[in-house]
Amino acid sequence: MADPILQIRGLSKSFGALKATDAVSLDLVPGEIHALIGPNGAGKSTLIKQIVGELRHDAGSIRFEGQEIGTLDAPARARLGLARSFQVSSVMPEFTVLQNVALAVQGASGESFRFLRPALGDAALVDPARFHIAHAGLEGREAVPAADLSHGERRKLEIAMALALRPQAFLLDEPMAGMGPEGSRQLTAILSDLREEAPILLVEHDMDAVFALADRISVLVYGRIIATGTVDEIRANADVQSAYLGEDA
Amino acid sequence: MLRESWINAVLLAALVAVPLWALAAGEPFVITLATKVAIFALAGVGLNLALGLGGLISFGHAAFFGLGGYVAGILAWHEANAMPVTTLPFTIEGTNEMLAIWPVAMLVAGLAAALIGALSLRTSGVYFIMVTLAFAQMLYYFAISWPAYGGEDGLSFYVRNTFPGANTFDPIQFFAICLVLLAGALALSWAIRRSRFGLALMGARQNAQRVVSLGIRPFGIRLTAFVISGMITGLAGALYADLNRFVSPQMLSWHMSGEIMIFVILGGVGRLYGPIAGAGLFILLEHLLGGVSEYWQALLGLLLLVVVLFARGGLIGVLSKEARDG
Ligand SMILES: Nc1ncnc2c1ncn2[C@@H]1O[C@H](COP(=O)(O)OP(=O)(O)O)[C@@H](O)[C@H]1O
Ligand SMILES: [Mg+2]
Repeated sequence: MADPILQIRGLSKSFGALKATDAVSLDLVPGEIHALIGPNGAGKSTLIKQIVGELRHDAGSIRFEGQEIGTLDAPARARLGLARSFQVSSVMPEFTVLQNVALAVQGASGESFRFLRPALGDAALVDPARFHIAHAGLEGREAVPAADLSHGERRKLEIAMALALRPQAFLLDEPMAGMGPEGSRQLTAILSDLREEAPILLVEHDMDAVFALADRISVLVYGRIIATGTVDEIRANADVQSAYLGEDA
Repeated sequence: MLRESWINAVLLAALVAVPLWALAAGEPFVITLATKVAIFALAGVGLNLALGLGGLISFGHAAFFGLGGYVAGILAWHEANAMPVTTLPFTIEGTNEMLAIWPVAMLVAGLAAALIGALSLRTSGVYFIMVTLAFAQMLYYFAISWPAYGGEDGLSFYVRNTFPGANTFDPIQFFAICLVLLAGALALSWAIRRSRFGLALMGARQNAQRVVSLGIRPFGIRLTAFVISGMITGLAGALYADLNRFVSPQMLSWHMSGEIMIFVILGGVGRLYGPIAGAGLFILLEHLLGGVSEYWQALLGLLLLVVVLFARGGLIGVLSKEARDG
């Protein structure tokens, strides 16, 4: 297997007595969609938050493109190319779709201290922003305030903003949450293309999407990874059956 | 939006027309009132950058207003008494040149804003409000207890500072100077809110966590906005000192912070021309009602309550919304 872009070793995090992340090791290699599944409260979001630097881990290492990033703050990690989407849509509600994505392009460019020229007159921001908006399936909605978007559109806006960071890795926390079947299908197609741009660590409850998209699956239960493997291996895994899949299937 | 720019144009036109009328009618006091509006609006434009764009609820902008005022007063006082401000480590003379006073006033206010901002921006919410208030109060008590420049009594300087080619004692000329500076500050805010910096600043107000995940650190953005904001309010303070030819600790007090905030809220938080509407209404009320009853401030309080409860967009929000519906 190719060198991993993201390499997590022995990551641990406790909230008081609760071990939310318990010695987790996980790799994300180029070109793959690595799904992270597990019951509610297993610690999936907490793991993502530690990778992006929103939460500090207690122990273990996080290497990104060979570099230890555990001591960097969240903006620094984002600038290295770690893009995340949020489980609960998190956008700038008063901004239009275009402004939201333009701000993402701006963040990636690292140039926010420009005071006089209009941001939306700057082709270096607007052209890529429009491209990513179209890519995420929001063409024609550029001028709509994010607050006025439907739930599904807001999920797409999240994806457009993640794309706009031109990342080396995507960390997507339940991107399909609350989307209708049609929206899920569209997003599945988009994510499938996305892996060409950068590998994806995909937290997702929608098993149809996971089985359709994932190259590998890791199963997280009570903060521990109990299995990692291909779709078929995970389907066949007895522990997984009893711990997780058994409940739904 | 179109309607809002109409309202803005009318506001600006009124701010120009009223003193011109007063000039023709021989009512210099009205020109002075209009000058006060322009200066207060300038202070509000400064605060609006932090409060409106950045969501930074500073309850200490009197610090910058007062520092700007004291810079003007102290430099003018030293000039008038032919005494250098200091001789160590090198000699700094007083001056009565506005063009020299303004940059110093803005520099001092900007430095203070950098210091206050660097500490207060580590907090948020009610703590931010309290820390900014505390710093301004510290300066207030310092000014009261420091006898060199009048302490509690304040500092008078009898000659208004000068501006090349103008007679600053002529009310309409001094008004014109204040108006031009106000227009400059408005143009700067207008540019900032459309700029990359403005995008990051407004983004951080709406969703700081998201801005962080895009690789932008809100702290530096906010601190910069706070400093620019303090500098503009500091410039307003220098003009206010010149208007009255007097500075006192009152300019540093929390009443003043509250008033600057009232200008912004009455006019409409984050609205570019809001501070003009707010300051104009404030002065109008003070002038019309202040004579009738000492309790005009109670009425002001009631008005504020109505705006905050029923018209978050302030005066400008109300007017532009009505037009959109009708
Ligand atoms: N900030 C926090 N403080 C305390 N407990 C937390 C915090 N965040 C998450 N938890 C707990 O950690 C566990 C894992 O949560 P989470 O990562 O959100 O799970 P998942 O995303 O897999 O549903 C849950 O039991 C949750 O209650
Ligand atoms: Mg979660």
